[in-house]
This record gives sequence, structure tokens and C-alpha cells, in this order.
Amino acid sequence: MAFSSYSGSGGRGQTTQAVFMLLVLTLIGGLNLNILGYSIAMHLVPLIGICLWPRRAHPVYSIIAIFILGLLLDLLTTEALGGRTLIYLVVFSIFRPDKRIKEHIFGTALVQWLVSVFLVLLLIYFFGWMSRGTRPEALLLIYQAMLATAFFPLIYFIRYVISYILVDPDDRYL
Amino acid sequence: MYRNDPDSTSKTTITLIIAFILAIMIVIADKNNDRFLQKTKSTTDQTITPVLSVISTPLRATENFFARSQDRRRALEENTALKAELYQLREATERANVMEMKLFRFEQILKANIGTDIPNEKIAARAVSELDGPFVKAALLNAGLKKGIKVGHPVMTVNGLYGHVVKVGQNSARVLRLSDLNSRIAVMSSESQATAILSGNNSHFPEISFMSEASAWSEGHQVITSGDDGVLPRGLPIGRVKRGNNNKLGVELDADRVPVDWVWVYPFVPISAPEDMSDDNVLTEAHDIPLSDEEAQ
Repeated sequence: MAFSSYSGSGGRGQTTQAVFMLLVLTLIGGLNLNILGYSIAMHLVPLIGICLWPRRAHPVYSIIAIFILGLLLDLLTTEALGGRTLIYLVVFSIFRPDKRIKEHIFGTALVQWLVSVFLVLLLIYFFGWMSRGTRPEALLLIYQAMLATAFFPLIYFIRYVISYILVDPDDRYL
Repeated sequence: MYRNDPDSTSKTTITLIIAFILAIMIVIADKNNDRFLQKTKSTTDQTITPVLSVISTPLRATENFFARSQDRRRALEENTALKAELYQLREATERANVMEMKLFRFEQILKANIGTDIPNEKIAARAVSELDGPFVKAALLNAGLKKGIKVGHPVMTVNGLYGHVVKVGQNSARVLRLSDLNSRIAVMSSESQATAILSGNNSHFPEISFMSEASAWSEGHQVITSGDDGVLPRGLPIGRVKRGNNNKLGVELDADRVPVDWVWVYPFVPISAPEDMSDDNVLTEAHDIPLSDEEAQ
């Protein structure tokens, strides 16, 4: 049977908690942080949810959820509808969590995050430039990436704790 | 590191391809201003406003904490500066009162009313989410049609003009900020009365373009709305002229000085063109014009 490794309470649990986490991060991603004279959007924070997507989550349901939540972030940020969804799907299809054999440890997750951020920044910069005819402020994008990176360890920790409490020991790791 | 399960791979790949195609179709439809998508955006704004309002509360608390600690550090020097400003303002208020009296008298003599068209009424709203993205500079307010907000109304912070309403729902409104790429506002210099257009460029430093007299603009000038566009009232403070790195004149926005939380929406009614008015209110012949009391006598 297809997706046998994702069925059962473990797979369902992993999918549910990953979707819930991405939903919360998407809502946070619609906000702006005004601090110490800087105004930085948190648009890249939901990307952490994609990078920490559990390997046991059902891939088809995951793609559907990522698609819908990408649209939600586009609506929240009033950016071009579908743009963020495309970026999420690119990141998901490159890293394909369902193909991962080993669980994520913090180091590998961080490396994957940094690569994703770099890729996403390039995509936003060049697609934005092509579609809008004007170059986005690169410094603003870098600030956004730095802010999201500062959140990464905290979200990794929360994700780990939730997984530890809610999911069966065999399916526990990311 | 990675596993390979042919069954799941094919289904996942098909789903991914379908998702990519759908996403591209949505991008294209959005670019063509599809009516259904626009309605969806408006509905989402209304639904999500209360949620964002709750989520942004701890964030605003953190911002206020940092802002307050910064204020505390600057309290002494600010106090001295404020005292000096207060003495200046007392004198300025007295002068303004005299000028107002004079102006009133001149208006009576000339039978003209050249007073400001800034409405006295204000609608308070909270900016529940402020967007400072690379392409969009906007904000979402937690008040809409029910409170009397309409498209085009100017939005002010305590410091100055913030933007204007571009979309409005029953309980929410979307504000296009002055720094957004699509923002164009008719402005003037308080000092030289020269007019221009303030063009947003997605940075915190919108440019002054289409200047009536380029030489009449210089650094430090106070920039206000000119009202020439017939959309915003004349006299709303915007910021100060500053020369940018590219040697172009821009405006340092007053509204950008502090984090924005509460804003005021002015229910300003723009001037309607005669052709936009109902037939009952339009006079087309000279004999239609009603005589004044003096002329009637």
C-alpha cells in the first residue's frame, strides 16, 4: 500500500503537528517587528516550518497544507498571490522531508535552513525584480533573513518538545 | 540520508507538479486582477484581523518595552529640548491666534473661505499588522465600514501622515503606506509653497518627483499634503526634505519615527467633479444660480 510508512497514528500525528506549527508560523509571518529603530517583517519565519517538516508526515497531505498555508501568507502580506506558495513548494521539493532516512539533528537542520534562506532570498529578489520591474531593497531582505535565523533555534526547540510530548517514541524525531 | 519508495515518490511527484501548476495559475490570475481573488483577499482580511490583533499583542508589548527603555535613557535631554520647544510654541501660538483673527477678518472682507479642509472628526483604529516587505508597504486596521472608514481616507499617526485606505471591509481596512511603490501623493513645501509628487519607492525614503520648481525645494523643508490631487486634504504633515545618497531629494517620513500602533483615520470627503454628482445638484445655466441675500434685495 502506498504511503504505508506515513499511515497510522504516528504519521497522522506528525502531519497534524507540522501543519499546526506552519499555521502558527504563518500567522506570525504576517506581522512586523519594530525594534531598536528597525522595522522588520517576519515573512521568512514560516519557512522554518517547511525546513523542519517531519519526515514521517504524509507527503501528499503535506503538499496540500503547504500550498494552502502559502496562499494564506500571501493574503496576509498582500504580496502577489501564489508567489509564496511557489517558493514553499520549491523548498519542499528540493529537500523532500519524506525522503530523509535519518532524523534531523540541530546541526543538519541549521545547515538546511541556511541553504533554504539563501535560495529563497535569491528567488524573491530575482522573481520580484522581473515581475515588478523594480529591485527590492536587498538590505531589508537580509534583515528579514537574520530575524528568522534568530528565531530558528527557539522554533526548533519548541518543535522538538512538542514532538517529544505528543508523538510515539518511534516517530518522535523530525 | 535519503530513502526511495517508488509508490510514494510517484504520487508525491504528481501532487507536487499539480501544486506547482495551480500556484503558477494563481500568480497569473492575481496579476490580471481576477475578481474572485480580490474578493477572497478582502474576505481574508476581515476574518484574519481579530486573530492578528491577538497575536500582535505580545509583539507590541515587546516593542513598547524597548521603546520605553530607549525613552528613559533619553528622558533628560528630551526634557530640556521639550522645554525649549514649549517656550517657542507659546510664542508661536500667540502669533497663530493673531494671524487667525486677521485671516478671519480678510475672509469676511473678501467673502472667501480659504480655511483648511482637514476634518475635525477622527476615527481611531489600531494597526494590527504592519507590512514592511520588500515589495509591499501596507498595514491592516481593525476598523472598517462600520466605523465610517471609506476608500481614500487619509490615515495619520501622532507624528504625521501614514498613508491612505485602499481597501475596506466591514471591520477591517487595508492602508497603502507612503513608502509603498504604488503610492503617489500631491505634496507641497510649507516654506516655499512649491508643489510636487511624493513617490513611494519601497524604501523608508520616498522621493520627491515632478517638482513645480526644483529650485524651490531644499533640505529641511517641511512637507505637507497640497490637496491638489483632490483626494487628500491640504495641510497634513508628512515629513522633512532630505537629500538621499543618490543626490535625489526625498522625504524623511514623520510617521516612521516610532512604531505604529494606534492611528487616526480622517473621514475626508474629496471634491466631486460636477459630472460625478447627481443631476439635482448640478446647475448648468447662469439663471439657475441662486441669488445671494444682498443681490436679492
